[in-house]
Amino acid sequence: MGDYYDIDDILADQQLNVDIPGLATDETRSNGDELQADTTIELPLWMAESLAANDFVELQLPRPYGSRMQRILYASCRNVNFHALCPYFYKFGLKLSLALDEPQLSELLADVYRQRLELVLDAAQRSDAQNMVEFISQLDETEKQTYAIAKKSTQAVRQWQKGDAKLLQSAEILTCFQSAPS
Amino acid sequence: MLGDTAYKLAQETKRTQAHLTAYNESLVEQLCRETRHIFAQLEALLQKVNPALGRSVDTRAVAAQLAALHATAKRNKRCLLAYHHLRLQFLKSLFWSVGKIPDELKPQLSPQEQDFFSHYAVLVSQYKHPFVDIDLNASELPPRDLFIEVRVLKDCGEIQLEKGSLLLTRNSQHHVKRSDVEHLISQGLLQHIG
Amino acid sequence: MASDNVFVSPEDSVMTNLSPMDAVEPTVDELLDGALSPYLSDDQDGDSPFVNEDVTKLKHAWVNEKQAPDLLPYETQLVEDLTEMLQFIEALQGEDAGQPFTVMLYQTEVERIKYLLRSYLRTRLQKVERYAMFYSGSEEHLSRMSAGEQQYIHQYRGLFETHMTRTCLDKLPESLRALDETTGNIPWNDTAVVCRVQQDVGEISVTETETVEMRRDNIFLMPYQTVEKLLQSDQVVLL
Repeated sequence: MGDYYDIDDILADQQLNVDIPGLATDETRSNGDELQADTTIELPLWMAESLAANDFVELQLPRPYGSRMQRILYASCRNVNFHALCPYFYKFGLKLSLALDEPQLSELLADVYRQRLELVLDAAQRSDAQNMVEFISQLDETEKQTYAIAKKSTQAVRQWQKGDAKLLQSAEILTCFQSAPS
Repeated sequence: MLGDTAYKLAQETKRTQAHLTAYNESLVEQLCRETRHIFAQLEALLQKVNPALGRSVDTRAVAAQLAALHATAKRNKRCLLAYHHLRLQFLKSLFWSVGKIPDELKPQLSPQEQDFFSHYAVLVSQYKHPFVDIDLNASELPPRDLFIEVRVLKDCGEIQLEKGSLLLTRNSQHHVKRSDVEHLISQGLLQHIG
Repeated sequence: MASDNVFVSPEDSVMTNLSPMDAVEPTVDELLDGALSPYLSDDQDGDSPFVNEDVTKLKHAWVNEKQAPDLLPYETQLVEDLTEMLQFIEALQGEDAGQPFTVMLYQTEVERIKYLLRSYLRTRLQKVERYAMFYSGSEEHLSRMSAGEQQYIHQYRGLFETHMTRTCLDKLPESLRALDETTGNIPWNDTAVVCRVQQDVGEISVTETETVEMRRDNIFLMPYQTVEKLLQSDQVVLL
């Protein structure tokens, strides 16, 4: 589903671990003890999915998407620190809902995203950006990208309203290495 | 654990998005080596389940290990390609906006990347040939004023204009045709002041 | 019907928003279209004497290409005509400079057309690069490219493969060395796009059970694949 080279997609696959009532995998073997059936271990999604495809394991929702967390999100999602919960909350959640065939999870995600989008767009239109630092640090990566886009377009609209001629700038890419910390 | 090195490279790729760091040859080498090692393990496992050898093993457990190893190998490859791909994207956008590799950037690039850049430049110039009048490399900002006011930030020497030439010395100011100097602004040599 | 009174056509709203200043002072666009009409306009039937059809078509083609996730058919004739026109105007300026003000208008418009052309061509090159693995194996997509683009995708793919082989693939086990569509990107044709209907289309089905009526000047937000055919027959434009 994601773009093959998309680094966020790649990291979302890694980000959180899926609880797996398990079976032996290589790394548990190398620790000397074999994993018995019906134990629960955590694996990155890319690994868990490929094991699940052959029915070696059964996937379960990890904690940030478990029923307790879902209840909290239903009650109020606005103050949840998604960065701490899971930096790829939506991307990873969507992958999980497909992998585990849990359509109500994707509905919850859409609902939560819509509610928080309001806050994100509000923040992007405020001029006191310094006060927003804490708020932004608690967003998930998708929300951070949305925030950046919204902020850019707010600035573009303001500039257009003022009728400022846009000055040509040196290539933005030059800043990607010129201020290199040594 | 399986996939840890790939994860390290993926994190480095993520950081590269904001800031290009030196090409991490040792990490790339390490990940390639680990992937070859995984294949060696795969082959050894396949030997184990070979019925001709008549050893009794839990085939299902071995199959699970095979699947895990195989998934890791594919994951490693994806992370390797994503890392190199992102750096190529950077080089390409550098080509389109600045046109050359700035000297201070060269140490960050591998010899293969510098090769890629020069081959890419040839490729684009072949494509551009029929459109010589359009200047495909020009700014992506829509034109507004035909003439603009610029200040010289670094000495550029004498440059060729559409008509005649102009000497650009540091701190001098000029009223020039935008299309004549756009590339110098992109390179950070001139500043557009109005 | 009450709705007739509520509905304001785009033309009406433009008229009511015009301030007296706007009414007397023509915009730069109007000036330009007028100034260039002898050279730019190929439609002399009096309907819209000041509009060069080709430039309008290029604007549509450019925005369509920018917004569509997949590569659209190359506008061979349009690009050729406009490139020739630019050469013609520039040659003309060489011999007869004319009024300084008129010359400036010519040059400004020339710069704008060049901008459109290069942004159009570069947008296409970006897609060609992004989906190089997939497009270079698809007859359908190759047929949408110009000769230059076909050569470009072939060489770009080669350059990309060489780079990946030298940097990492050669150091991987042999069975992992291949690059193909599974190790590249494929355009997502269910991406949402915004489109405006150019002429009445009638009912079209958007899902298995739902249909919508598309009438001229309606604006829709829809999955790209739903409007792909309409786009290629110029019944809608993307915004």
